[in-house]
Amino acid sequence: MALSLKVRRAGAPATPARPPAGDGPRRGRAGYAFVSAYFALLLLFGVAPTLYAVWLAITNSNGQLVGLGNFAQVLGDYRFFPAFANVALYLVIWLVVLVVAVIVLALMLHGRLRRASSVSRFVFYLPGALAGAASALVWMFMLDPSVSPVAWLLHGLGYSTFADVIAPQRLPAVFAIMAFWTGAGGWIVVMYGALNNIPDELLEAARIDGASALRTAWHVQIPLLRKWIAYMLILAFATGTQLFVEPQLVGAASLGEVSDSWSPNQLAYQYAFHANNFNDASAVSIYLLILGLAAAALVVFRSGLFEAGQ
Amino acid sequence: MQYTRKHRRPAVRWAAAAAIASLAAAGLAACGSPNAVNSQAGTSPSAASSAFHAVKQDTSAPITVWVDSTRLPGVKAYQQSHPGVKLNIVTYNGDANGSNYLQTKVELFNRAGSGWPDVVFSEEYNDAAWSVEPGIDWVAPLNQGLVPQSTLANFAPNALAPCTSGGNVYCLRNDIGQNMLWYNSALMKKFGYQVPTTWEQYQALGAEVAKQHPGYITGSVGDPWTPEVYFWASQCPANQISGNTVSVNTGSPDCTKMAKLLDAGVANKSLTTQSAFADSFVKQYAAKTLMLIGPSWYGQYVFNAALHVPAGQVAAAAPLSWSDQPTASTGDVGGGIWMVSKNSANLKAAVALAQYMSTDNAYQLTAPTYPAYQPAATAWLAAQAKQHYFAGDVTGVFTKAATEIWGGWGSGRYSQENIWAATMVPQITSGKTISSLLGTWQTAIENQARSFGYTVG
Amino acid sequence: MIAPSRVMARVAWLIVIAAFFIFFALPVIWLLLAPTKTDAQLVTGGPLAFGSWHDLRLAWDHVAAFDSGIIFTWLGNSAVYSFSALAITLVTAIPAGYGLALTEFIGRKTLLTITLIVMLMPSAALVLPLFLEMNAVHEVGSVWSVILPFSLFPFGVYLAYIYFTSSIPKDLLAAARLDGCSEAGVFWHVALPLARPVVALVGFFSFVGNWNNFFLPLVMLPSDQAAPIQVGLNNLLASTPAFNPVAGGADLNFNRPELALTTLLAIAPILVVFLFSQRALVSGMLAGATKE
Repeated sequence: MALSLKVRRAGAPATPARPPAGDGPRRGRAGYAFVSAYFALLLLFGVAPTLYAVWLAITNSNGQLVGLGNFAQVLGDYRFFPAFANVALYLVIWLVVLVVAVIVLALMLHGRLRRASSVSRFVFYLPGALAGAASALVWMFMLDPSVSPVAWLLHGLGYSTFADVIAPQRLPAVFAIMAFWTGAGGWIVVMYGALNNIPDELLEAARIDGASALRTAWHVQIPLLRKWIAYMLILAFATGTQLFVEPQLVGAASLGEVSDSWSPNQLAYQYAFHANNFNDASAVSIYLLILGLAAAALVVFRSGLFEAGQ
Repeated sequence: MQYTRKHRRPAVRWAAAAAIASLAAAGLAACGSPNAVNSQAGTSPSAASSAFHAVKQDTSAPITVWVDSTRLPGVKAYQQSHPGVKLNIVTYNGDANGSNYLQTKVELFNRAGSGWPDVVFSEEYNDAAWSVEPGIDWVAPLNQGLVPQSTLANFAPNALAPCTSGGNVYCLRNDIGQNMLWYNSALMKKFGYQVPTTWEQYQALGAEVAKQHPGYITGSVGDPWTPEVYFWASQCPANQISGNTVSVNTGSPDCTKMAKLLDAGVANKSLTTQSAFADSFVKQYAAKTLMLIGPSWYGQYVFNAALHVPAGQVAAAAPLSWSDQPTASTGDVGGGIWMVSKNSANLKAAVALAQYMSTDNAYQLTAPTYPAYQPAATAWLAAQAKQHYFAGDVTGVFTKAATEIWGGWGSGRYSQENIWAATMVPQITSGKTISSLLGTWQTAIENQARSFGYTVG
Repeated sequence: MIAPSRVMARVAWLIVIAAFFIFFALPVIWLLLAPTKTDAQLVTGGPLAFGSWHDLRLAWDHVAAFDSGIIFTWLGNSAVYSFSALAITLVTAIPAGYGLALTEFIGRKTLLTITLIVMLMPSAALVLPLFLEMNAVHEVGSVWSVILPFSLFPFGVYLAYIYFTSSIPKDLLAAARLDGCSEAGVFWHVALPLARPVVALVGFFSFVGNWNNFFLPLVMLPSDQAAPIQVGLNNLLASTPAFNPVAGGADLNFNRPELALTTLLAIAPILVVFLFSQRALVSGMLAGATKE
């Protein structure tokens, strides 16, 4: 048993034994039946709008094709590079904090905190329920040293006013903390569920072999989570580049002290719904999509995410 | 081996697909040119709308009206008193605070060809600017017979300026926020100060307060509408809009001398860099606000509701002028507008509602803010006097200030408040002087204007 | 005796855990206490002080009275949209994840790729096309204009896909096929019973995603009566003087305590659904499932 479930290094293929007849999944039509309903939804509400958006990105408002003209035009917008620079800074903090903290906390939920795990999961998840406008009020208070419950922390960091906390150079970190606060809980729940599916025998075997919790985590659990971690990385990167809610919230809570085009996604929104320019908005969105896909491709290939079965 | 070959194929496929796609896109470049930023903005709005043709009218059709929660009771009362017209009332956020909801929806309706509300109330008078833009152009001109000229003439001077484009009036102004000098008369008497009448006196008073009563303030530069409060009053040409051209000159003397005044106040801390609506302001200055320069609604909204200053202390004085200024001028912060869709099937009912809400005493007497329609304003002031909150009579100050709004400050598709809050306030709070930031301010305004399709010149 | 280094390690872990607990919970505790205070107390009083039951009662009255109880209408709308879309999502996403993971067909990887692309597309760009689509079939403003796009949940399909690829032993399926089960039978009798955790996960995330979705209902629904609670909350921000200085006039009676209470009402269903779905995340599900 333990042999057949031996841990493989990430990306290394298992040697496929020739499957006897009737053993593995048959190449056939059954798969189509399973995916057909979803496929219909995907075409209608996913593919068609995406294609339309691509169409918008290569045409102008009169419907004439402009090739890459919109892409060039938005590149020259004075807000374009600052927005991408902002998000780049934000991404670095966000990715590192999210991945490390989620894995560590999930492992702890599974290990040391197992008895308190349902309470812990609830507490970690609580902020995730506060999306968008619901958390505007919370942040208006948390970030303002004059009324915040963590005023001692803010004062300790040297911030005496709200304006200090949201000074432009601090925004990437502030947004990363906000996004982490809302987003970590859900991923912790996912990772915890994934950890549950690792057979206890493996962990027993490692324990018997004398592995510490740390080594068990590093050599047994994390490799088995590799597809989940890959998925988290892809989405964290994509949602990071598409940052929108946090700058909007802090802008609302501060009566406008954050630019309404701080992030590229905000810029796309400005183009679409403030400048009545859906074509340039789609161009910016396609830039973001390309970034997300590039990262996804990298992760997919390195982690074997698309490999079917086990 | 077999595995790696299978592994490599998708990558090659993807790369090939990507390459073909981008070649195709590049090859298509010859067919058209990208949107001139906001491409239709180049043409003059009057060309589109002077020939206004209403759609087929039906005077018994129900009308859809969008209002915010503050105006909702008034519209409901209108339905009660006018049972003949069927109203479909929808509450929305009033397009407040840059939410952009109205423009989002109107753009979608335009592309769908249907769905516009008949009458809309917006808290942002800037909304009229994009509403008449040729690419959107969804509102009906009201001065071509829909609203009597005599009614239009009775609005306060320049109150309808944000509504006016190409010689036509496209909205009715609900209320105005003419700026004036608010002060705490009890504190002023206690400290033995005279109420200033000129900017020079105001600056001198600030210096005295800083010396004798540090911690008390005479104004704020942290509000998003600081430009409207100080620079508009000083007739600074930071927002001159004519047709589709914007011209900004923050280096002009009217701007620089105001910037110097503000810098002096910030330096001696008689002017705070916090917004009057920030919690920290309330905590720090609730009992220490000697005076604030702000709109007519400051009395109730700031001094009463936010700072809880007891009744009988707060008074208003005339807007300040420079000592060498021949006529008084002041700015205007806020004020809502009523717009009517040009695709309305029942223009008569729609205009009647808009006109009623903006001019009729029955509603405006219950309104929380100063009516833009002068006869209604007179009645409003009389009703306010009965509330006995202010020290002394503010009627004269309010009425006169309403006539002194300077006409040289335009209303465009971009937001001066956003620019000040996002670009200027963070730098001011970090210690830079406003005088040193005037160039930054000008660049920011010009950049925003260009991104909305204006020509800057 | 326990080695001092182990004690220190334990203490260090405890501090880390406590810090995370405070980080996640403190703002929510603040929010819980906020409706018990008046707006002035929120500013001048202690942040974690309890106000009074009387103020809580007042806040509740204001919330219930706002625009004739529209907040409850919004909550009801959210429930309808979210649960309806959840049902459709479960019926479509779980089989799709299974099909992508454990069957072979031409186009499997393409479908995975397309799903990924659609998932990564920024939604700002999809708003207009979706609106035009719905407008073409005259469904703008109907509940279906919201429920159907909500039902597309590629994130859930991927969750199911990853779950099925990593958690179902192939031997089980092979055994079932050898026994003569059709593919549908294998799914229904073997895979699905083992998939309770991922069904709970996908269901939960679908529900939360739908409940918290703001932009799609904003665009599709014209009337505040049909709005879900997220759109309603946004409207309320504009009626709250702290966020919109020109809001109100004294009669609106809606300030930050009321906003906090509305927020708590808005998140309560999510937390209830969370508690329900977590019970399905049982550990050690596959212990002893394979015999060989």
